This record gives sequence, C-alpha cells and structure tokens, in this order.
Amino acid sequence: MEIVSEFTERGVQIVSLKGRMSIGDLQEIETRLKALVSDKPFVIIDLTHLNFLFSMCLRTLVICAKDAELRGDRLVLLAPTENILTVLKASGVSLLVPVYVHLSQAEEALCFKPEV
Amino acid sequence: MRIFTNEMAATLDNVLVIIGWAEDLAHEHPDLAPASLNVLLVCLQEMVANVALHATHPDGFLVVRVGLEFKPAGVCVFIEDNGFPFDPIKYSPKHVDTDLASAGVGGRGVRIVRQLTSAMSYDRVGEWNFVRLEIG
Repeated sequence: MEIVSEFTERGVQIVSLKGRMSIGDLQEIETRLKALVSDKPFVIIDLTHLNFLFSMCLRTLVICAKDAELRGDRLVLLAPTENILTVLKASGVSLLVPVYVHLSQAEEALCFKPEV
Repeated sequence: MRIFTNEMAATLDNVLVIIGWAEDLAHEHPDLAPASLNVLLVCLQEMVANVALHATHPDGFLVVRVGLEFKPAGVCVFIEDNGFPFDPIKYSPKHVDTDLASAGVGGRGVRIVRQLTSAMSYDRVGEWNFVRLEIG
C-alpha cells in the first residue's frame, strides 16, 4: 500500500492511502501513519484510492484518531469508496471519526473555530 | 459446488494465502457483485484471522480450512478449524462506541461480519468448529 502526504494552502495535512490496507503490512502502515500525523494539528486521511480496508486495519485509523484527540488535534476521513464506507459503517468507526465526501468540507470542518 | 482449501496452519501468513485463493476463485465468477466480493474478502480475513490470533489447540497444531460455494445471488463461505469451541453467534461484541476518547481500538471484527452477512450459522462437530456465512 502506498502512503502519500501533502499539505493544503491552509496547512492541513492530507495523507492519502492508496491500494489495499491488509494485515500483511499492518505493522508498517501503523508505524508510518502514526509518524506522519503525530505532530500535525489538522489531518485528513484521504481514502479516495483505497481499494480494500480489512477490519483489522480499522484499529490503525482509530489509534491515530484517538491520539489526535488526546493531543487536542483533529483528524477526519475523506472520500471513502462505497466498499470502504460499508466497512466503516458496519464497524461503527464512522460514528467515531468524521467522514467527509469533499475536500472542501473536510478542510472547513477541521479549520473552523467557533466564536467564543 | 463447494471448493475447499487444504487444511493449513492457522497463521496470519496463511490468512493472506486464503484471501488470495478466494480472490482468484471469485474472479472466475464474474456474476459476483463487486460489493459482495468486498464483503467476502473482509469477512473471510476477519474470521480466519480470529482463528489465527485467538484460537488454541491442545496439541498446538491449529489448522483451518475454508470453502466457497458460489450461487446466483452471492456466495457461501465455510470456515472450519480445530480450535477450542467458539460460537461467533453467541459471542457478544462490545457495545457500539460513540465517543472516540473512550472507544476501544479493536474488537469490531465479529460485529462487522454480522452486519455484512445475510446469515451466519455455527456447528461444533467433534473437535471442529464449523462456521457458515451467507453473502449477497
């Protein structure tokens, strides 16, 4: 599986997962993903090009989201395919980590600061 | 017609072997909907990985074999192992977490399989667990 990281003009990190997220490379994916997002305040995990998400790999996404929340940072998921969304919903992970269809929506949700 | 793998050691490496076998076989059945193929691979990986990670055998030789039976409307999956008795139908998954801070990081596998399959059955015959899943 390929992992690509880039930043938007607003400083939001987009981590794109491409290919198949399977148990064969679970440890490596978890290590790389955690290292990439560990010090970023706003992170979008782009699932557009993720073909398969096996259930054990959900753990990695939940760990990253929990770590972000503990730090006071924010992490959301973007544009899962129908197959991926099926797994996110069946597992209940879509109730824990926000899922957005469009990049602009995800970016807005991350950067929006409510008035005090 | 049911087609089975050989009995193989229940290891995570063999989970991948079984997934590859199932995927190759599924591609010989183009009528199988892409969504059903996705569910097949997700559920198969989950159930076989559960055996590899959690089951035990008194003699330490834990084996698993998997069968598939393609039907016009989907596919039936048969997972058989010689581990200690485990009925996934009676297993109670944890409640659905709605709060990220208190949510566990794992333990969602059986819930996923229940949600995605149209039927699930379990039998214990001799020293073997027999799980049957219907998809599609």
